[in-house]
Order: sequence, then C-alpha cells, then structure tokens
Amino acid sequence: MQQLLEPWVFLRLVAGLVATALLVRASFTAITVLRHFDVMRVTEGQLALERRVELAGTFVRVGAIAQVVALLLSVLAADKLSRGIRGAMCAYGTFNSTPWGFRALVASIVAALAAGTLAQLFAFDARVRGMELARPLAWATLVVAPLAVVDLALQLAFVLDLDLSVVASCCSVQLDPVAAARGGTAGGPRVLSVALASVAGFVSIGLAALCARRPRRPLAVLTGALAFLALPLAAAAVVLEVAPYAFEVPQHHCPFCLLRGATGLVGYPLFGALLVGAIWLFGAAASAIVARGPALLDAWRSFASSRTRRGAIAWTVCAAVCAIPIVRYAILTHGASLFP
Amino acid sequence: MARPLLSVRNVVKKVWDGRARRVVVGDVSLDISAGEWVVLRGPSGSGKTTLLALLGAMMRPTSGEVLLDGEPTSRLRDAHRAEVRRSKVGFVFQDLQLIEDLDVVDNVLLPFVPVGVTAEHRARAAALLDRFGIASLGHVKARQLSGGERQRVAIARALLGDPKLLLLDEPTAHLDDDRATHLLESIAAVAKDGRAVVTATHDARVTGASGVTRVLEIHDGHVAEE
Repeated sequence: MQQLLEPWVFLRLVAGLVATALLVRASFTAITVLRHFDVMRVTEGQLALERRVELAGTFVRVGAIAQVVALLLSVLAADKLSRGIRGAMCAYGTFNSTPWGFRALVASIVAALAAGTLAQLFAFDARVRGMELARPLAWATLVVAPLAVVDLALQLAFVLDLDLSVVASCCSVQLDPVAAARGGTAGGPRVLSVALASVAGFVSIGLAALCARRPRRPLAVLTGALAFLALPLAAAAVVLEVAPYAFEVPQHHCPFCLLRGATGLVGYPLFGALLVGAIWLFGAAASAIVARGPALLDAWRSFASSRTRRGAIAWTVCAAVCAIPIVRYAILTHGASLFP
Repeated sequence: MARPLLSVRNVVKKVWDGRARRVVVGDVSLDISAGEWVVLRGPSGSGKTTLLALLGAMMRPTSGEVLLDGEPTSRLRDAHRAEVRRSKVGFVFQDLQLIEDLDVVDNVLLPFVPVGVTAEHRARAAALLDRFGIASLGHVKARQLSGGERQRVAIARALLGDPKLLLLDEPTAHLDDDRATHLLESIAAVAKDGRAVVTATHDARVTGASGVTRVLEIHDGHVAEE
C-alpha cells in the first residue's frame, strides 16, 4: 500500500475521486431532469430544478476539468514512479509492470476526452440564454459519469497492484526488438500511418479554420468526425515517426520517452496540444449536433467559431512540435533519413 | 393589441425567515406597456421593493415568470440577467447607492465600467446631466451633493444604458415638496420618452403626480389595481 503515499499517485487518485464524485452527483440531477424537467412550466418545483441544473452544470465543468487533469497526473505519476522501479526507464515500464497499467491509461484517455467534450457542451450551454439544452446535457452527463467511475476503478486496481520492488521491463527491451523484427519499420505501417495522420490532421486543421471563419453545423460535425479519425492516426504517427527521430534511433518507438528530459520534454506540448485540440474540435461538433432552433444557433455560431479556431491552433502547434525532432535531425545530418 | 413591454405571470416569491418560508410576493400578474408610469403603493414591508427587484431581473421568483420584451428574464442565467439589466433596465435604489468619493460623471458611468466605458457613454452621460439640470456638477463628489441632486444623478445613471424599463424605489423619500415636484416632473418626462416606469412608494405625492397612468395597491405581497 506504500505506493498510495507516493505524492503523484496520491494526487492522481484525488483528481479521479473529485472528478467521479462531481460527475456522479451531477448524474443524479440529470436523472431528475430527464424525469421531471419541462421548460414550459413555471412552477416552484420546475424553477427549483432549474437552479439545481445550474449547480449540476458547475459540478460537471469542475469534474470534467479534474478528469482531464487526472490523465496528465496518470502519465506524470507513472513517469515519476519509473525512477524508483528497477528496469523501468520511463512511464512505459510503470504501466507495463501490472496487467492493469495500460487498461487504466486507456480508460483515463477515453474518460478525459469524453469529459472534456462534455465540459465544452456545458460551456456552450452557458452561452445560451434559456434552458433548452437541459435534456441533452443530462443524457451526456449520464454517458460520461460511468466512464469516470470505470476510470477510477481501473486506476485503483492499477495502483493497488503496483509493486515498487518489481523488476520491470523497459520500453527498449520490449518495443525496440519488435520494431527491429519488422525490418526497421522503414516502410509499411510507419509510412502509411504518417501519410494518413498528415492528411487527416491537416484536413482537420483546414476544415476547423474554415469553420472558425464561417461556422456551419455540418462543417463542424465533419471536422469533429475527421478529428476523431485523425487522433489515433496522429498518436500512431508520433509513436512510429516522431519518437525514433527524437531519440535518433529507428527502432525506438516509445511515446513515453518523449516525456523525459533527454528529448526536451517534447511530449508534453505535443500530447497536450493534441488532446486539448481534439477536445475543442469534438466540443464544436457535439454542440453542433444539439444546437437546433434559431436561439441556439445564434449562440452556437460564436461558440463554434472560437472552439474550432482554438482546435486549429492547437493542432498546428502539435504538428509544429512533431516536426521539431525531424527537422533537427535533417539539419544535423544534412538531410539524411533516419530510416534505412 | 401591442405586446406589453413587461409581463408578470403568477409570480410568487417566498423567503426563509429563519423559522419558516414566508410569502413576500403572492401570485402577482400584471402587464405594463411602454410609455406607462405605474406606481406601486403600499406600506413598509408590503413587498414593494421585492416586486420591484423581481421586475428588474435582480431577483428570481420562487414560481411564475417575468417577461421583459417577450424574454423570460426571471429564468435567465446570472450572466445573461446582468446583461439584460445593463441594457434594458434602469434601477434607482431607495438609498441611491452612489459612490461617495466618485464625482457625478463617474457615478453616472459606473454601470458600464465592467464592459468598458466608451466615448458614446461619456457623451450620453453629459447629455443626461444637462437634461436633469446638473451639468455644472459633473466634477463634484457625490458626498457634496444635496438630496435632490443625488436623486437626479441616480436617475441619470439609471438612464445611461437607454433602458426600456425604469424602476424607482421610494424616489421622493427625504425630499421637500419643491424638490419632489421637480423630480416627479423629470420622471413623467422619462415615461413620455416611451419607457415603462414603475415606482414603488408610500408617498401620496407620487401617486398624485401628473403623468402617472396607474396606481397599484400592494398589501402583504398581493396587488390590487386602484
């Protein structure tokens, strides 16, 4: 149990507890909304429920932010713990030291993306003058709250199963031989994933910029859908292309090593921009789906414009950060390719 | 028939007084059109100020709704209600709430400080001070003003945003007859501009003022037309 007292682990669990408690509390109000909310009524019960909806909205927004912060703390905690685990050189070793590690990480990523998108929906709702979005937001809260619960449960399982005295496997022991066995990843999945990620990413940025100038609901939904496809492709491209260049080793396919000082901590701005950009683009798309009617559309246009602009900027930053190790290597080697 | 500027539909306001929930405003319904000057008359504690606060979107009702210009202001979120108050409602408080160490111009401009005071606001403030005969007092501190001058500054401040609805709580309190008459003439002129004016008072000088279109009696939170 001593791992629970590690400061980063403790912080991670506290963030998860806060997020889960707030989202679960808000989901009780969401159930009441779905059962009793009627915007046409002006009874005491209805008006009291409207006040509770506003309070629940605050819970959700704070909880959602805590859920996104929890993801950052997950990675930070794993990275910090790797220094105390023999054989682990980065967060990969920590996550890989128990069967729950990567399951918990995936749950954190999914919960953070969902919670972030939900926070965007509530941010849109705050711009709407009336309570038209109460029901869609209640449904969305009921979808996201269980994800927070599952994430917290998996985090607890991971942390409780974590043995700081274990001899873990480093990413270079497990990932590098796999990459080498595939012939140095010169072609195949690397080239394909980089090409697909580049196309999907830059088209997403272009569509987002277009939507920022002229917000239209179908365009926002299309941008969000494309961003949804681009996100895993971008993650794959980072693993297969950016990470080897950052370490100047063709077989070094570890995204977690990008969080280490040896690479200039390039992973934080890279993954951070990728995550928040995705949340903003998903938020614009999700709000486009629920924005029906002239009053909602008026509020939606300015909201979507700001979110797609932010999303485009964040992903442009991400692309620029991805390019840094590749350009640096090209300059140092006078244009030579890392991959044979 | 034209839509009323202000509609109150079955508004009830209950407050917790430490022992029980007490009805302060009970099931009030009324319509007020642009250009009307309505006086709410009643004794102290009858619910006049609470009703005024409900009309001005400064307070939410326990049930029922208040529509200003067709919009249910009583159900808006705080940020949007603040925006409505800034753009559509002028409020003159019983204690006026002037900032004593600011001069007259700065007191009048005060409502727009949070969103940024523009040259247009300054020009409008100058025009309002001129209209109410206090242009020469622009750089005098509020604490140096007389009771009548303070009232005029408060009304000028309430009108700075060119509101459609002007609410005044006991505007003639502490004014002698001459000053009260002068002030009531100014209020009548504001209503003639096409604004709806609602005044809460227990002063007979207000109910008898020229320009008043309706007097509503309020007792124990219930309203009856006189």
